[in-house]
Amino acid sequence: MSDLDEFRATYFDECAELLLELEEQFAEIEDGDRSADRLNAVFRAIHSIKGGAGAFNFTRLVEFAHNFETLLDHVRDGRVEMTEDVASLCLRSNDIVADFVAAAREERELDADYGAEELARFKSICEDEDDEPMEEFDIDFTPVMVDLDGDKAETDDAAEPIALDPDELPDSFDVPPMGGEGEWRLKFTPYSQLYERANDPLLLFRELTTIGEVNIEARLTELPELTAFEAFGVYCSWDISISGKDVTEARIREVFEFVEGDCEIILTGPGEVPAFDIPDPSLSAMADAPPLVVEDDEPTPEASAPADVPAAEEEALDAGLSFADLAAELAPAKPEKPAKPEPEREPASAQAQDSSASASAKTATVQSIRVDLDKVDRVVNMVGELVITQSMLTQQMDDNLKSRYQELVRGVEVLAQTTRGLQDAVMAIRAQPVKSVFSRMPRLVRELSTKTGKSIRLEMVGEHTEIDKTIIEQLSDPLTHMIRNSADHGIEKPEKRLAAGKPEQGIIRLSAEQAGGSILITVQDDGAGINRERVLQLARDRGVVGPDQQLTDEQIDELIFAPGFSTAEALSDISGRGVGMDVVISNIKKIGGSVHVRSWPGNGTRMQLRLPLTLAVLDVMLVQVSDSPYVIPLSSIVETLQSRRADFGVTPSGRRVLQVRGEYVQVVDLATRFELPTSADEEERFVVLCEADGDSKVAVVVDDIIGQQQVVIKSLEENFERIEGIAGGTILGDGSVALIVDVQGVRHTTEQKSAA
Amino acid sequence: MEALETRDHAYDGTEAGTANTIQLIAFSIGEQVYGVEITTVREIRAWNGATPLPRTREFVRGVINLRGTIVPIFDLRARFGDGLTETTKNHVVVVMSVGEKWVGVLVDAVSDILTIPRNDVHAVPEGDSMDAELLSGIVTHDEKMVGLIDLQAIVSGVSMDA
Repeated sequence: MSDLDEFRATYFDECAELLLELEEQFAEIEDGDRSADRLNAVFRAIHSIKGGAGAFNFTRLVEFAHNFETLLDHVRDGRVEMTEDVASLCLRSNDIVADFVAAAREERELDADYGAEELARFKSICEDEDDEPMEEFDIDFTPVMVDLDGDKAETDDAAEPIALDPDELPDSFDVPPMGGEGEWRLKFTPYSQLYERANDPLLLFRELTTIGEVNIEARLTELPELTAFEAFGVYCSWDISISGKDVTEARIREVFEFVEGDCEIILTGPGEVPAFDIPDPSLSAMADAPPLVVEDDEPTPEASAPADVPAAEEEALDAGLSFADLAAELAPAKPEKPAKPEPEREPASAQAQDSSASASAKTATVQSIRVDLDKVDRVVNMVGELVITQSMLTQQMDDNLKSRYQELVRGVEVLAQTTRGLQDAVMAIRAQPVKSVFSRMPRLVRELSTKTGKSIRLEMVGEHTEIDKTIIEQLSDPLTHMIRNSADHGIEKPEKRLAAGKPEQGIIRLSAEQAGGSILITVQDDGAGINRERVLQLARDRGVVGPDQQLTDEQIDELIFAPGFSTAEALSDISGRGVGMDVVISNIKKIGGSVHVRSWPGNGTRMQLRLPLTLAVLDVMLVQVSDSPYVIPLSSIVETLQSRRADFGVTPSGRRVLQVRGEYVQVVDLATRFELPTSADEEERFVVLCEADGDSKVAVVVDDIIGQQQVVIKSLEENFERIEGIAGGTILGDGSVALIVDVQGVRHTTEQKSAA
Repeated sequence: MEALETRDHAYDGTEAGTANTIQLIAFSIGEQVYGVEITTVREIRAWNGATPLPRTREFVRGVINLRGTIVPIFDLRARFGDGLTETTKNHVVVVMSVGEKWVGVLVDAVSDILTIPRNDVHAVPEGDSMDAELLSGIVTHDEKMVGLIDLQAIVSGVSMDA
């Protein structure tokens, strides 16, 4: 993978996070929250997406994001009112940005006019204002050639901390400095983090030019000799003066909003004492002294500051010039916004920083590192081994040992606790909030409600419930199907709802909660419910249900998941649901979950997914067939019964069936199926009734049932090959291997065999 | 477990194989001696039973747990068509890597480390015997014939359906 590919991947990872955040913010905005915090967060996210897109030359994304951002900016400073109309435009635009990002990721082009309508709306809404020309946002990474033999003058040019086209960055803009009235002076010293976060002073300067007349001078006195030049060193600072009638402190600060904390900004208003005469040594000390970079969220206590002051700064202090003095000088004039890195960050300023502090506190909560899932899985596996080894040790300790080596026993007990703790901790790494899936649903509902002409509100509860990442990945499709069904078939048209005495707007409620060792995910609508008569009729017509078979209401509801029953043509014309509902059930079964549906005619339908917390550990029933251990996933087991109590029968074709509660179930004798000799007495054997794909059942006959336990799934294919009817292996407490029965697989091959 | 580190043998006075020589681990099945290149051997351990795999050929003795990985065990005697090995605690499993996979081979005993000049490796005589199919060459050592195991051939064709 080349560096650029890696950057690309990182960019898209970040986009995914930003889009998630946007979805969240817009959900609040949609609910009527129009606070500045929300808008700022949206603005920041769009801005970041745009910035990266520029670097990778995703021009259409940049163009759209830019205009979107302009609109947001206008809304933010009150030039455009956030009406319902504008809010819905923003919502739609958010979806479009997401589409552009997706298109860029997949390297495909969207229709040429995609988003054009919204683009035109942005422009018309903002047309009164000065529209910043697009070019200003082109992020140009033209490399600068460095002539190593060149003289100092040349190195000055090359010494720009990041590669800028020298032609584009004149040392000063050709505007004569306007002294006196209306002139703001700004001393801008970026720290290295500013560049590390891919900000570019040039862009900031260009932004400044939109406020007023700007005169910028670079201070290059800090530039070292070329030999001493560090590639990532920061040597340049700028003196800027801005004048014009519209220039306000707020507008200047706004330009630097994104780099707050990553640079030093000393702003002097018109008529204030200029604060420029700071000797360079102290300045460089400032730039090189991270301890003095006061983070917004953790104001440095006054007392600790001097201790952190590096030698150079102390020299400056000796010379009678200090930032404390400087701040004291500035403070009376601008008490509410003191210069950035001053040590006297006190309650007065704390208040001013409140909003940004809360913003950074928020970032802190989502702070994360990206780790390859493979690496996590490796840890999960090792911990699994550790758990097994530990339980093996425990089993090895007999009473004799216990009485003789009490210290050892205690040690093993502590080890057991620690391993359990470690296991939980590792599982928690894989766990993710379901939010990442849930957050895609508001958009789906918006689209569905437009498409169907119904008014639908999506309520989401428990987005922070955590569940294994692999499960989350498998959840998107089933949830989409379920919500689409609720919107398509569950929620009625507005006029129908009104006639039924319900509010015009239908509600789909999506919730997640933990219930013991499982996660429950519920999709509930307040629509018409399942039309049981029609569903049953259709089921009889299609032979899914026998003509004489009597079904309970619940059984009829569950019919919608029956395979072969749920084609769209079959069901979209009745009130029932059915777009790929068998897909839902097979996906969910695959990850060891189950689906249940409950309907209240006239009052809606509830579909509930029950999912395991993790896939790495499987709850199993340990059984024995011909002296070998086998395990059956607990999630697929309906019940177990003793052979002598089971009601076996034989079909005319000679196949064994089990009759259980009026149902005939296929019987698979594992010993016969696996061609193993069994000495067990037929009467003493056990029947494990399992659920296979598509809600059908299979009765698995085993020699003995040993117990339940948790196991770690191991691959057989890694060193061997797939065996029909075996889903994998696992290692038991005594270190031996047990095979996992593939319930669907044993059934399938039996059918094949009998067909052959 | 009672794993013997192969390295202890490998550096027991002899150098690893050079450009002109190969080093073999020799093991016996009854009177017959076979060898595999030492570089493919990962571990040698005592037989401690295996979990049988259903619907596989007779010579697949089952799978064992090798530090958390499931490794299949092939009964070399059965592979050569001489019936299943009557296993005791003294039987030995030689774990080897074949491509990406690790497999174990059940033998009676590991007998020696041999350093053989490459030139001394002879082709297996043509014929439709099991030997021609499963050996990649023959060398002579101490006036005894040592068959070089073709690992790929050993592990192929394990499924009943194949």
